[in-house]
Amino acid sequence: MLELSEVVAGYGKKKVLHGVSLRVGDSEIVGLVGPNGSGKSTVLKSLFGLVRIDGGTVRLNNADITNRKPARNTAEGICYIPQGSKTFTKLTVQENLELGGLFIRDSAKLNQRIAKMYDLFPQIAKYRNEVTRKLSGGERQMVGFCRGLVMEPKLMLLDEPSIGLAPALISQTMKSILDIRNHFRVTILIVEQNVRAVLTIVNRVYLLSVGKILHEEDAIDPSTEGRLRELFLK
Amino acid sequence: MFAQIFVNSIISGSIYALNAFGFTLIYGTMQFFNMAYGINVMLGAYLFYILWSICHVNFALSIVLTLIGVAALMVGVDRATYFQLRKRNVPSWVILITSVAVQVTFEACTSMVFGNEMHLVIKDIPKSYSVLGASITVIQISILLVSILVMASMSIFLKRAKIGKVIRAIANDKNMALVIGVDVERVYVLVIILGSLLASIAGILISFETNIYPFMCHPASLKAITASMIGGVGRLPGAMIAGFLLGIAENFGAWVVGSNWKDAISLVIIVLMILIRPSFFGIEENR
Repeated sequence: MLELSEVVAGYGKKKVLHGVSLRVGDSEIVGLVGPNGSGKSTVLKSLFGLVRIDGGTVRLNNADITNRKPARNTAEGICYIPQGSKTFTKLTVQENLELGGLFIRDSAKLNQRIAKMYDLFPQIAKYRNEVTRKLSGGERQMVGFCRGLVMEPKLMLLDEPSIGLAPALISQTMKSILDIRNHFRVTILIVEQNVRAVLTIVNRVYLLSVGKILHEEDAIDPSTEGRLRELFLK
Repeated sequence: MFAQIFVNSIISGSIYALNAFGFTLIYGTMQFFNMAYGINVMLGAYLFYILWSICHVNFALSIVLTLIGVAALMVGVDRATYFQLRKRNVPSWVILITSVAVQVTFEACTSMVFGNEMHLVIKDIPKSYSVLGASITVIQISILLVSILVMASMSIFLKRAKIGKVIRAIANDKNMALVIGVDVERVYVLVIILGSLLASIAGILISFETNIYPFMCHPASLKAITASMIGGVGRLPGAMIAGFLLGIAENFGAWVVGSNWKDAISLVIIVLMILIRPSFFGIEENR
């Protein structure tokens, strides 16, 4: 479904990605791991249109979407859940979800989608009129996912979902991501620092180092983590 | 005596609240400390004066044309100046200095065309009523009612309307807004228009009550900024309340120290705010 081919991208003159190629198949969960500064977040930001791509292509179902704007990407079914702040902290849960449906013109349809989110995630439903600043990190994370899911996206880009979460919550979050993929049949590309956690749910994993893909694992088995850690140190 | 001062406070307070609302909306959403915000007030007053007093255009039409005219002009100014700077990611103080230049330019042009003397939009003496020992004119009552109505409508719009929520989202976290697909620059145009409307309405209201002159932008900007500071950075309800508080502080203060010092009271408050709440000049809003 998604194919990056020799993508070169960066911030101004400083290039961060030096020819990244990877692919994600329909309904797969693919992980992208790597040391700090390897450019993992930049991969997601550049394919989503937040960072300029200066070389290479991004194809979605064979259509060239290189440097397509985030608004268009959102409207066309790609959802990006950023690192760090995932919600509008001064807006309520309900308002956050409504903004997720910015491109849904029919208000009945929007309300239906939001209602579905409350059904699937009752733990955030009870906070629907509270500002998200009052919620815990894990709950805000959930609101962030729901915001993206309102559009019923084809592709979800998750940027370090485990960051800032207590260890107990991390495995729960990974399970939620798996549930989301199973329920919505959505394709997911996850960038993660926490190799062990992400390996529990991905079909395949790529290792990124200094802006290039160093290694790919097509199947995950108990020895995968060891191999990746060794390569991390290179 | 007390009642009269209080009545005067509420009337001027309502204008200050309107201005503070507009200024805070722009600062909160665009992080633009608009030193030229007062020109909306001045141009609103002058355009209305030209249309209604000089050209004798129908009253309602004059108002509508004034509001549209000033808003369109402000969008034009933004495209020509601040937008070009935003595109180049300049530091915010550069944009602030530019806005100072914009204010000077507009004042000078107005002064060249109309001269520095004051003009009067309404020449007849309005009917006045007596309320609890204070006298209040029909015009003053209208000013109060219109200000409150406009601020209430704008608040409801920001709270309930879809685009109002988008504006609040951008004010909260601009990068997140970009992520969810908002065309932030396009929304900025709307914010400029809304800010302009609030201040040009204030300008028209002021013109009913007092003389207009090219440098009226200065007190208007000053009061807006002061009330914003009292109310808290980017906090709309705070800005409105602060506007009324400022009206009270000024009028009671003037009673004590003399009305020459009225504007100085705002400056004293600003200095106090800097001493007590230096976070206003800090960088990050709470996220």
